[in-house]
Amino acid sequence: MIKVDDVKYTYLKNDKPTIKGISFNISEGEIFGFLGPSGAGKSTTQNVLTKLLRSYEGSINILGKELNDWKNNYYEYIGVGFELPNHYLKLTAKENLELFSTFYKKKVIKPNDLLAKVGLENDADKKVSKFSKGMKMRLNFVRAFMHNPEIIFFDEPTSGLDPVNAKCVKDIILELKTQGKTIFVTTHNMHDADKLCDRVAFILNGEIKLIDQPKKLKLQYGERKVKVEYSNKQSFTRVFALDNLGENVEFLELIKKERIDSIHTKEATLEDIFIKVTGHSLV
Amino acid sequence: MNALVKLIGWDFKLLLKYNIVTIAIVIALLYILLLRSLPFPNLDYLSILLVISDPAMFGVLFIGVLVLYEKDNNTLNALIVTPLKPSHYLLSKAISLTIVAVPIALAIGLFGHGVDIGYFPFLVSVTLSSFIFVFLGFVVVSRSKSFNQFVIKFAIFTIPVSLPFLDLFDLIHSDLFYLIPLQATVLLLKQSFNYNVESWKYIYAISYLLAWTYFSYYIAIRAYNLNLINGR
Repeated sequence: MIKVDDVKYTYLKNDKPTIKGISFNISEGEIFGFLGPSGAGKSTTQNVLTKLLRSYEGSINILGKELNDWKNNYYEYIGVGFELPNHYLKLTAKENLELFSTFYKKKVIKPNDLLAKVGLENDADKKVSKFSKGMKMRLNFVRAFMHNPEIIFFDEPTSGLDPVNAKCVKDIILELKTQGKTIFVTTHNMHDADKLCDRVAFILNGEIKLIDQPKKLKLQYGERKVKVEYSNKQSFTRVFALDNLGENVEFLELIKKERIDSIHTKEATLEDIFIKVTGHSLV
Repeated sequence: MNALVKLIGWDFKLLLKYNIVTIAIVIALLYILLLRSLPFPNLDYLSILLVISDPAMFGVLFIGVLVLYEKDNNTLNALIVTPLKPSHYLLSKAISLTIVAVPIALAIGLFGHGVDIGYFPFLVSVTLSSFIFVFLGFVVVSRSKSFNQFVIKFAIFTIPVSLPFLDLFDLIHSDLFYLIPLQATVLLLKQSFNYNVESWKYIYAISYLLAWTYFSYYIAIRAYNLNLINGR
């Protein structure tokens, strides 16, 4: 669906490239996460892939065609959700969606149905200037897939959202995946990446340091240990090796005799792995 | 075509929402009031100046305001990632602004000169000038990051463009003024106010304005691609 091969991008006013020869493939129906701190090159990569920035070096093949060969009809097939709100503030939410719907030849999803998806159905006729940042972001989000695109790019899709709306947005992204959409998400939020992505790429200073499945990474970089929390007037924690756990007498005695509060394997978080691999934190 | 028509409708709606139509009508009323209050028997040249300043203001100033709004609200990025063609974007802005500019210019012309005007040269002059100013205004604003920067560039742009007014008011005459499209606009308005403009000048004026309309459209499309996409 998306094949990126040794792509470099240099801003007009810069001497050195911001994106330094990155390569990755994204399959149809996959959610691919670009994980990295601010300034790592996530948004620049998305802007290159969405043709907001042109004149890249290397090769980008999207839907079987080199990106440079795509004309304006490229945007019938892709949708883009931005990190910052970008609406006509003097128009209502519904009018904003109606205005953008005029650009597509494809049939678009009705504005009221889109707004209902993110709980904005009662604000359809409200001017966007009266919206909170979270409401504007939700409007941004639904506009990205109003034309039923094959590929959707989301830049920090949960940025500025409260936990309830962030969950709503993540659920919709997973629902879009079940519809066969290919989704490219840039984020510095490891929880989002963990919950949403089939694979993640760690990007730092314009270079991809690693690409893999979150589950695999967490196991690979985690400790093969289990942490048991139990209480007996006081709270206690003990850690056991996962290997031969069923034959570990101390462990078996403990879970038999004590009141167990929790048992967790000590798999690594994506943030831990990012720090280990890149030597840099995600913030 | 259908998409362009719809987009013009939306741009017109935005002109109303941003109160640009109201501002334009108020300014036109002030112009008309000025023309009516002056004691001079012949107000033709002053009318020509005011008629031209109307599409010029619409073109350069209001396209600037509209695009800066879109830049400030990041709406331009959202537009660029849709199938909207740059040509539709620019034509829609030019047509919607011209639809407002022409009746207002006509009202100023009618109040300034009277109803016996030549409508063909008048409408050609105002319509094409409005298109040219919109496209040139877009080129200026596409390189501006703030309203202040835009106003300074607008002022610098206005001075050389306005030189043919020196010819109109008999202050300085120069053949070089014929290189400035405003000279063609002035000649057509003079013709519409029943000043006998020589045939070659009439043909020159229409041809030159048509050529400038195409040229300004071409550089506006170029500015869209260079400054709004790659030069961001």
